[in-house]
Amino acid sequence: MRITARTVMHLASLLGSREVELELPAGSRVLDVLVRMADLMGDQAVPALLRPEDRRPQGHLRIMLNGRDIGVLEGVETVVQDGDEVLVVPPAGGG
Amino acid sequence: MLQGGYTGKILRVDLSRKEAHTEELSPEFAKGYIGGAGFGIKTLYDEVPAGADPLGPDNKLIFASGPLSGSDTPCASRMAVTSKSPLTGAVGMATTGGFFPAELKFAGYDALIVEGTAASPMYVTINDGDVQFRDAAGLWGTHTSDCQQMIKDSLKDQGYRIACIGPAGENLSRLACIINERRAAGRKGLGAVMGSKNLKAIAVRGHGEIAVADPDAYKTARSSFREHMRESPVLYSAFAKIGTPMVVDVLGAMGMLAAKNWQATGEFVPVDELGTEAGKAVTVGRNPCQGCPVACSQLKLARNAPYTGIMAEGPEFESLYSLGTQCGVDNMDAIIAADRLCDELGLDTMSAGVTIGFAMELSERGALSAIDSGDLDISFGNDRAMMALLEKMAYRDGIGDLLADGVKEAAERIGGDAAYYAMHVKGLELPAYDVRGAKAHGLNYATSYTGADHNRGYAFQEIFGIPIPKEVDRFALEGKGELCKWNQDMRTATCDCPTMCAFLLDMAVPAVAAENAAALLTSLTGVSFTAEEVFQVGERVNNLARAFNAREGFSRKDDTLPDRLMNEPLLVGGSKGHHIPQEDLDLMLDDYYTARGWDVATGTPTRAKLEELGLASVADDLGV
Ligand code: SF4
Repeated sequence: MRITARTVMHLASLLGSREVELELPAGSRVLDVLVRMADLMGDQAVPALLRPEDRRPQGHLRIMLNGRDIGVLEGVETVVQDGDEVLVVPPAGGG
Repeated sequence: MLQGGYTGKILRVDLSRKEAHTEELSPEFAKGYIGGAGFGIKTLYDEVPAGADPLGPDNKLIFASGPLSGSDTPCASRMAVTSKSPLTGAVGMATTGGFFPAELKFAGYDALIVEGTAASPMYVTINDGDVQFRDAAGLWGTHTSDCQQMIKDSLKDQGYRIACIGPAGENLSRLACIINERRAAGRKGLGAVMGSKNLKAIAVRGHGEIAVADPDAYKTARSSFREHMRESPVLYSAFAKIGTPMVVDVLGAMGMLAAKNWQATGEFVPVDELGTEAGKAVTVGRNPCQGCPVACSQLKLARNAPYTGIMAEGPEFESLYSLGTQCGVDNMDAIIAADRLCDELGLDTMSAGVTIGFAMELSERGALSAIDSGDLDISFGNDRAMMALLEKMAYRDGIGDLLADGVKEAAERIGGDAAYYAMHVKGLELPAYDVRGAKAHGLNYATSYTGADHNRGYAFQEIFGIPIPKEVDRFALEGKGELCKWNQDMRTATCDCPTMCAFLLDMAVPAVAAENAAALLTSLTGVSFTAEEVFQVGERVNNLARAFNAREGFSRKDDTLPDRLMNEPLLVGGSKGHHIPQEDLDLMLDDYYTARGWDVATGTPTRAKLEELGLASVADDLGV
């Protein structure tokens, strides 16, 4: 299935784009999407997304699935569906 | 007793009589309202009678710094400017930073109340205890930066800090703001109030210091605050370098960056042109407020014709919307130039830009054909037309006269279905956040005492995902009434009253904002505050502001959103499919009034709530 993975600011620079299309097996979770994004970023950049010790998402990142914060869903264990969109936003403020 | 923080003195200036005197600030008042917006709104409620003409002699203009302002607490040089708004007829309160707020304290005053009307253009100088009324004939007509420089030169003291109006305020544009240095007490037409009083500027110079009640406890409180700032995952690492423009990237990705008069949100998303990276490329320096180690405020330079060489402090995020996406403009240099032009003319960037975007849509729909717009092509993306319109609005020239008082007034004058395209609440033009994708933020637009004002109850839970007081689903309706109240009261209590830069609330102390304010206030002033008491000041001030508005005839019917947001779901982007239909708004309003302890049918504060807040006499006034 196809998932759109998106991010912004310095994470987009590391990813090389603000948006990538990913092919993932059925039953994949938000965590799997992040791991794939980290793979695309290369070893140096992985810590921007995942904690080196357990390859779980860095706690300060905001992760949304189809616009909703995953905290109100099942967290990184939330299963994604074909056509879903995952957005990762670094800490931000102001405005 | 007031032992520190406060100067304990209010300066009252009567322009009609050219008289000034000082009054004492009481500890009871400090405890009940803290300062800043609390002082401004309490004074407005007590002294400006119902039905007063906002541009008449009965209206007052109140400049109030908080007790923290001028102290060495970081990011506290802010003040609230309060008046009855000529744009909305409701409470007009705007905060500004820079150096003026602290300087007012150094001169010995917590607040300055301006009343009456000068017979001819005047400016007022305050040098510690010496107050002078001076002829401003030679300043009338000047741009704001020239005005400030001319005053400093004529007083032979470059240390004066000056708040002034530009041509927009002189010409009573209800979109006029008050400029100090290159900062603005923006929105709500406060510059027009100053213009109506024939007051071009206030120049202040102070040599005093702010006393500290309990130095040891204050040092501890201040260190703890600085520690929270250092621990922030964003304040120094990103915000200090990028500033507010980072929100272009965030809102763009969330499908919430409003564009082309709210027709093209999610579709016209010029992040490459106006976002973080584009901003870095044009930044040439920084200009922090007094006592601020963050220095988010940036100087940006246009380097391409026809704007080459024009510099602005900004554009901040909101101006990248109002003078950018709202007008279909993705030329950064043009926005820098327009931002600078607004500052010089003393025109609010947000309301002015939203009004021009409104005119652009009407023009494209053919609804302006009967109006003489000269040879201007008023269409989306035409930055030259935008620049020309800003000038025309400030001078009320031709079509500029139609647009100079904002979208609500312009729509009434144009007639037909123009009101449908007028993006405002209570007359105040909408900020950048397309709230079809953030419901508590939208509820705040509908209920804020100033009209559609993102700053009075910013839903950082929805915009930045900060899970305090809890994690929320930005699209959900449930719980948004309570959340909106919390945001409004917390912002008022910990930022608008003490006074403190609001960026610190969400980026440094979101989990402990009231505790942080209580510790700083208690140790600095000697008036003891618990966190609960601080928070309750926020509730008290919001209730008093609501009571002022109720006395002016505002009620539930005015807590609404533009038709477009209620009728048209977003078509593309990260918030696709969402809107706020009337029934959804009603549901949130019911929750909100219930959370506030207000009458659900009318949206008016109840006697029980007012008595709980020590406002029994207000209940008598309202007859509730
Ligand atoms: S963070 Fe920015 S707006 Fe706030 S006090 Fe510092 S420079 Fe001023």
